Amino acid sequence: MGIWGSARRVWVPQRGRREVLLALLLAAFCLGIGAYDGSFLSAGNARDILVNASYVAVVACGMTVVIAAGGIDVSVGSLLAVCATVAGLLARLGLPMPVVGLATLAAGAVLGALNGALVHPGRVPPIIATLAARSMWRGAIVLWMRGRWITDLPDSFRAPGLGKLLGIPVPVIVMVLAVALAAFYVRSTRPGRNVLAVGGNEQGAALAGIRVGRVRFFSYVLAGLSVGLATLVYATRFYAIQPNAGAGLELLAITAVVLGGSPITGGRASIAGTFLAVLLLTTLGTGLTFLHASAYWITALQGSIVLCAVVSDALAGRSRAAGAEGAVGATA
Amino acid sequence: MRCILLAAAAAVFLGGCADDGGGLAADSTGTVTVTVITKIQGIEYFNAAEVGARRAAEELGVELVFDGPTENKVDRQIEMIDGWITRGCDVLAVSPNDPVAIAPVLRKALAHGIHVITWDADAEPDAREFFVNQASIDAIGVALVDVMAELAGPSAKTAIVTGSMTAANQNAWMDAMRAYMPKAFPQMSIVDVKPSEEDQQLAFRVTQDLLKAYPELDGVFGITSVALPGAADAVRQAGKTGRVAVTGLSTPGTMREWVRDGTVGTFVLWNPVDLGYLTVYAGRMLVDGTLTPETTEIQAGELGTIEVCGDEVLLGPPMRFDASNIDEFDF
Amino acid sequence: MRGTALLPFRKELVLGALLALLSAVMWRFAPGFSKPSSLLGMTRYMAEVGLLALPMTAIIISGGIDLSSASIMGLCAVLLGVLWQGALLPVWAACTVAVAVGGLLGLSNGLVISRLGVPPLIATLATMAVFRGAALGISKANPVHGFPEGFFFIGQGQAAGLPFQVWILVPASVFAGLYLWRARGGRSVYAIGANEAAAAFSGIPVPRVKMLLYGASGLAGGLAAVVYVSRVSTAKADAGLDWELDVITAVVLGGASITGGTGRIAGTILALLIIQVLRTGMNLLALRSAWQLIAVGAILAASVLVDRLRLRGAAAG
Repeated sequence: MGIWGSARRVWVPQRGRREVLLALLLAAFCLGIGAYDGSFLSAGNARDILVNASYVAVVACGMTVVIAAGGIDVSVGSLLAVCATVAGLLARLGLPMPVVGLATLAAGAVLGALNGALVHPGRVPPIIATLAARSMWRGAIVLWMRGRWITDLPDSFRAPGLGKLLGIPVPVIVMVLAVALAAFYVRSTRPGRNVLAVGGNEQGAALAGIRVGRVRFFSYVLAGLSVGLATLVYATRFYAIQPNAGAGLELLAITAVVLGGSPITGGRASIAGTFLAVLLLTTLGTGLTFLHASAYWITALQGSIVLCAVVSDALAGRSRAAGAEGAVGATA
Repeated sequence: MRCILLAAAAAVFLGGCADDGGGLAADSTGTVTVTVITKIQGIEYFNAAEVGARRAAEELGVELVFDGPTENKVDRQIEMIDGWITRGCDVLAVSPNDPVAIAPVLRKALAHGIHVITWDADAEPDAREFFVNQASIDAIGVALVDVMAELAGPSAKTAIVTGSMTAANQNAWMDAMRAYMPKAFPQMSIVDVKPSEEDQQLAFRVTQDLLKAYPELDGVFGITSVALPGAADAVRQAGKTGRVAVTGLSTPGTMREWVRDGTVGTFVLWNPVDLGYLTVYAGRMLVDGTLTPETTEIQAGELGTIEVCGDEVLLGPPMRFDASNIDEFDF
Repeated sequence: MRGTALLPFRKELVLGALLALLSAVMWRFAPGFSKPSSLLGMTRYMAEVGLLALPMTAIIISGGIDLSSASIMGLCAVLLGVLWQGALLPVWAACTVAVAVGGLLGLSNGLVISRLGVPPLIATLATMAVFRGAALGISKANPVHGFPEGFFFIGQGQAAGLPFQVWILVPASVFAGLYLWRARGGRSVYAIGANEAAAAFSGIPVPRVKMLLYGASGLAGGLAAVVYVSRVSTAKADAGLDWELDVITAVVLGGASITGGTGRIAGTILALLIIQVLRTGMNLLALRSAWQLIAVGAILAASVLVDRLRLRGAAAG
């Protein structure tokens, strides 16, 4: 089980409980701040928070799949920088936006596939493979672009980022679609269920005829694809592409996944939980500004809230420890 | 496999022993070598400085190395400088991420006979010979506050988006603003300060949040070349162009969009290309002996006469950019 | 089969060969690399990450992880500054308190992990933000300097011709290595990593060992803070910022399995040396600093791939 939890006490949140807790926390937080400053609850503010959360949510969905399959990907931040650079360069060449979009998605998938290939058939442990990728891509981007920002982007580039459909910002629509697709994939499709099987009990899955290596490989491709999609709702909101983009994204995404209740060992994926966690974390940042909280303490406050959430869950879980033993993934 | 590796290592090692082991090559050809270290790679401001530095290097026949760490951390800079001390060069020009932390290694460089100057941001005075300053800190603070007063009125409520809360020069500019503001415009105030960590998305978001948390905000200062465009973007997307004034420090190339559409009326900077140019000139002059503690002015190529105040080489007063001159510059 | 006695040290031998190869290349091509000041100077840059990596090795062997030790370093640095600056304490007392607080913070991690059962990744991910944030909040990002001259001896001084960091890192490594190899507590770390339930059933006080490990990690964070502040003469909240993955890179490059049960201090030390030789050599070669990111990543991936290929070859042959 390793860094993912103590074998004596299987830490698997009861299905649905974590999501409810997160939703309640989110509501409580919003109402609390709203009481202090009513403008927090305006539609405009809600829209802004959702737009800001969109790219994180998309990446976190991909991360959920990877973790559910039993792996991890700490390179998503660097991959975002690469995809953004690809998108910017192609757009500046004058290619039509749909082509740029497809190329960015393809770039993400290829980068993900490279990670996946290291894991299977390379048999490099996921954390090592993606740590290496994270470092190498970050360095490569700085060298390739010589630190320059990509400016003079055509107006059409910002259509996905700033556009609206039926009054709803495009990034929000993309986020909702991505979350829905991811949830559907994980629950109702064969490949999705295979991912859960592999993460939950690798030997069992292999015995059941599932190609474990391929499933693992493909989970990284999906993660890369999610980064490509996230790029399209992130980079397209700004006037220049920054080569240092995406710093810290991996830890944010992983925090969202674990906060969302998906066991870090794999075997279960709560896309809804991840989504709610992303919303909570994004709202936290904005809300603390509304509370006029000192900029110096914001990081500590965010960390404390996450800590409280996991500790309270653990405390509640203790009373169910006996019952949970012997359940999912308790092979030590 | 293991044996092959060991054999290869042995061969290379023996070959290395036979050779001189690549000793110090300082100045073996007589060309002056100048190493310029920035705070970080990936910022347009430093990319512009590089353009100027390379031009000066070509004019002077100087061998130039222009590099910076991939993260804006002082310990990476210390390591790089240590490497340069060992490798040897004639001039080290550094824009440090921390003025005190960088001092020991700069002093070591001085002790090794390397000329040390700082540029863009200073270090402790005894750790370097000269500081090539773009504009005095006070002048920058005054210019920023003056511009805001012009754009948003003398009783504006403002907020500042800075880079990092630990950046010495950004903090110094803010201190200068805070010192000047009550004297010149007692009704003007700074209600909040937020960091953007040289990240466009963060600058955008914190400004967005500031606009909502302080609906009576009249102006936003974005005091880094990443913070200002992010802040302008947020003001524009919030539909508050004209209602909330945006100004600060950034490059014309980055800000062209917003000056054109009026979100940013005027902003302040100096010419980073010129700063890079001047830095290399100052370095060369140190080596030649033209720049000494007694010098009061130097002739820096295209820049003409440059004032030297004590141990500060001053590029000039801060420059204002607005719609009338923004297209003249290509950085 | 030749060398079967050395088989358990397979990974360390590969690392050693890699280190020898890299050193030889740098010796030959990087100007100034062979100077004693260069070689010894490398230990100054390795010391802080090295101190963090020692308990991290043990923690990873036990099947855990600690993402917060670098943040503890930042918080201890701030505490050191605050305690000394307010003239509250003389500098050495401030150092002792800072290190002790580091240990306490580590113990609190251990508490949350071993007593409450929160998975280490999650717990330390959260405390990482809490500690770093606290450092920022307490210091308001203000640096503290002006420490007395004698204090800088740790980070910038020499003893018997060697940088003082050597006198800290070497004993610490030897102690850590011996502990894991010989001490009963040390051996139990491996047992916990291999099979925690079985370890518990065989009488090993698992929660206590874990508390010890995370406490040691916090202590190392405090110690690293003292060395760092002494080296850069500034106590600031960004000490050790973003170092977490660097420390983990060193440990996994050193051969510790992330799933627990295997790993050695010797491997970690070799890995640290490899990374440092790379960085110093590449600086001296005047390569753009971004190449170092690529090199470290490539070495990380390559070392594991080589290892896996060897395994496959050995199995087939």
